[in-house]
Amino acid sequence: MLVPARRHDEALTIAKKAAEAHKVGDPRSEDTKLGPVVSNIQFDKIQRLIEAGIAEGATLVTGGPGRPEHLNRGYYVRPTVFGHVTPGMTIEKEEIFGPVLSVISYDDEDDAVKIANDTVYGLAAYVQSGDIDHARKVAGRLRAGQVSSTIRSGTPSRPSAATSSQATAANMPTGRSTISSRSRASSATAPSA
Amino acid sequence: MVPATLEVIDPSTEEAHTKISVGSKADVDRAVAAAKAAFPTFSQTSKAERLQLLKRILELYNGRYEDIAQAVSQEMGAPITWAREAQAWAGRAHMESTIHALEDYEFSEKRGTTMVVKEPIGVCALITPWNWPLNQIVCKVAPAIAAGCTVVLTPSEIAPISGVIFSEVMEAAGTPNGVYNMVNGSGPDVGQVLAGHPDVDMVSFTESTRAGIIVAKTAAETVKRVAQELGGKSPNIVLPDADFEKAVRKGVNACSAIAASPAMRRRACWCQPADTMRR
Repeated sequence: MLVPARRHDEALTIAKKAAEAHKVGDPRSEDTKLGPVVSNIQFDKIQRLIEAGIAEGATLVTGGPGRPEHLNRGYYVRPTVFGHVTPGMTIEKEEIFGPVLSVISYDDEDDAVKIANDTVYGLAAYVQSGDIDHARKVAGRLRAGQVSSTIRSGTPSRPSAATSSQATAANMPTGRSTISSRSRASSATAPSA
Repeated sequence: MVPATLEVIDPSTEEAHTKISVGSKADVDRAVAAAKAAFPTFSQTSKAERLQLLKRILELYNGRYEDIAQAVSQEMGAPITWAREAQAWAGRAHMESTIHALEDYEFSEKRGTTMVVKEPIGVCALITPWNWPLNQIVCKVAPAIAAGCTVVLTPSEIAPISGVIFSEVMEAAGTPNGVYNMVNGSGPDVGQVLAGHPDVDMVSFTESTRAGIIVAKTAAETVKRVAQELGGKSPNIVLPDADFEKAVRKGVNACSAIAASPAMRRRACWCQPADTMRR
């Protein structure tokens, strides 16, 4: 997550509170928000990356290595937030595939775009703004297969034969950038049919 | 055929909750042969026939919806509410969207004196990951069927049970013999054999960048079409004019609530029939 440098500490306060509010536990329970990760391989990899974040000097805001205190078995990971993460750190470069957030400062918009594009992947990106035109402008500079925003900007996107395939655009630095509003079609968290 | 099994681990208990048969090269050869044999007939079916089949699959998928959600929850640790509302939902949404796309789709177009025709590419090998089992399976299978391709699917061996249920749906829907095949197994034993198989025309692969490179290189030997969706490290830029508190909070929630698969958070990957067609 890239935030303006002057608001970095504020972001950490909000992120800490949000991460600590997550109910981690049995996936069979109706009110669980976060279950275990899929396998011991995945669990070990996430633990290694959390350790790398600490070793390389990022600020551990909440979470950290090991399981949440109330769980003694299962591949459960503590929701973890790192602050003051800088470009080049392992946790800034590598895909973690776990509930581990890295907060990174940027100086201005050009700097944010530069940091965002400095990745070998280019699978997806996200832009948050109060102004859809501003979000679209920044999205157009991001070299990712799909750019999403939480701004509501009209009717949900409807896939059709005319839309480009994100599956093939994904991971291609030259993939077409698009921006879609958060909607039924583009959101896995608002799936009501 | 070498009979072999693999235990499926419930990540919330670290114990095996069931086991699956895992395939070998001989199983892959049989599945590909079946898909190849079915192609000449299935590729000539009408759009109306394939629409009817897809609608029947959707109907039966919805009938097994809760089974699918429970399987996903157990095999990959997805919280059950999220398994229902996002994981099982994604498979349904892809099926509905493919049907919608196919209804409006024109397979041929006249340009001047030339007729441009989009035809099914042939036998498609579909290799899917554990993070969004149904999302990935349906987003590959449905467009292939819509286009008139025949398929061999190999779902993740770590989260394979929802794929088995999906296969039961495909069979119950009356999918013609050989059109849809599934082989469980590991990347090296099944996925890579499919990628190198001379009778497979296209590979659609979703998983890690490392494995994707191996698949693409293997597929290049027989000049296959390759579609890939690989790793990600997706930046989320919070601009100064955003509702800051809300944007940060939602960013954390997206990262954690869908922790099993952050690469896919808030994404939809709508495939189109043209993906699996010869152009």
